[in-house]
Amino acid sequence: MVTGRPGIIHGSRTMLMQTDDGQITEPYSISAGLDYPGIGPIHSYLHKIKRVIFDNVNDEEALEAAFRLTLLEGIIPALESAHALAWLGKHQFRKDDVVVVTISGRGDKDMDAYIKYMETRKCKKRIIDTNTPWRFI
Amino acid sequence: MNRIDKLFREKTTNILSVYFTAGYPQLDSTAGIVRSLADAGADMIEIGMPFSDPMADGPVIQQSNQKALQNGMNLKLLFSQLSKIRDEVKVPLILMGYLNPVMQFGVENFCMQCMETGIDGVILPDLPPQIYTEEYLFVFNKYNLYNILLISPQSSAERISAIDKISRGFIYMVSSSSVTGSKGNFSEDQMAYFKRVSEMNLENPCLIGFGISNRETFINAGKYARGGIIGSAFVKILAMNGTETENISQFIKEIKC
Repeated sequence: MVTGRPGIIHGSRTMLMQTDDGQITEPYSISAGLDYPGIGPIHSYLHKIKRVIFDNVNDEEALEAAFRLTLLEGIIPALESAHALAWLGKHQFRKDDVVVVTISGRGDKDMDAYIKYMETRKCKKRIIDTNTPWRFI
Repeated sequence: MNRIDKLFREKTTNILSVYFTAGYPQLDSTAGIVRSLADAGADMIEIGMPFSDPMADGPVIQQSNQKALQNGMNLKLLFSQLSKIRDEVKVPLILMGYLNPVMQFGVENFCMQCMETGIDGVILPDLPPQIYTEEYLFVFNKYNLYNILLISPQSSAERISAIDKISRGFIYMVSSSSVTGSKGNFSEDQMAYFKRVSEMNLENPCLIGFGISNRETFINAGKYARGGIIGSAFVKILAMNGTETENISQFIKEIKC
């Protein structure tokens, strides 16, 4: 949404990451499900009418959020959904806000990425504050 | 008269159309390959506009698309490479590629450049017939550019008839529900599909493409349609050592002999 403009891929006219010549550019994401140069046409439309705000988080934020949910709830989210969880931690909400996060996939498919990340973060000590679980500390 | 119509009027059987990717193997190979193909006796030439995601193509053409893009091929350059092609080449020329680069170039601009260059038709496998009719048919007609539509073994008789009505030039009959490239001989199911379509008595002539790789498959295609289209098998020849012109002439001779 940030870098794309209208184009056609796989039979859909939608927001697309591409060069000036219309060649599709290779996207990057740590999660396979987000590693796609386009987006569903309905999302493109919702973006256009400003009904939905699209945002992004980086790999480390998503991985941290996945560990946090696992520790607090015993639910291992997929890396795709972990991006949404990470976004939660970066935003303030009012007390009466209704917040829905879709945990759309299972984290066991992403175990390789999680184990690899766990090894690199071993040296860092993290404390989980259970009172304000979504705030980064 | 459009050169495609002229070809089908003058030659009734075993029409040979050959595909290659523009800008492959070298960036400036394009015009030379067109000339060599025409001299060698190809009846029609399909020039591929390379695309990063050629979803109807098998490994050989995918790889040629990638190489051509690495070489720096784009539509603007392609039209400039072909700007003098009509001084020498008389056979119908078709551009084959995918919709997004054409859309970014501007569909009307593209059609206009095709007319100025002497391109007779275009094949865009990811342009659905309905969208073509609603949004682009008018522009194509304005520049007398033929949009060649495709049918496959999955196409119903109803859809084939509808495509026949909006087609000009010929119908591209995709031999299998698969990507381009050699798969050996045609199966009985494929033959039954060829027969089913040939018995529909369509207004437009058909050429069979996908999986035509040698003389045998070409002759077989000629039994059910007006001829065949060869792509991957020819693109492989371009990667071979030796004089390009000689390899091309030898290849065409073997198919047509």
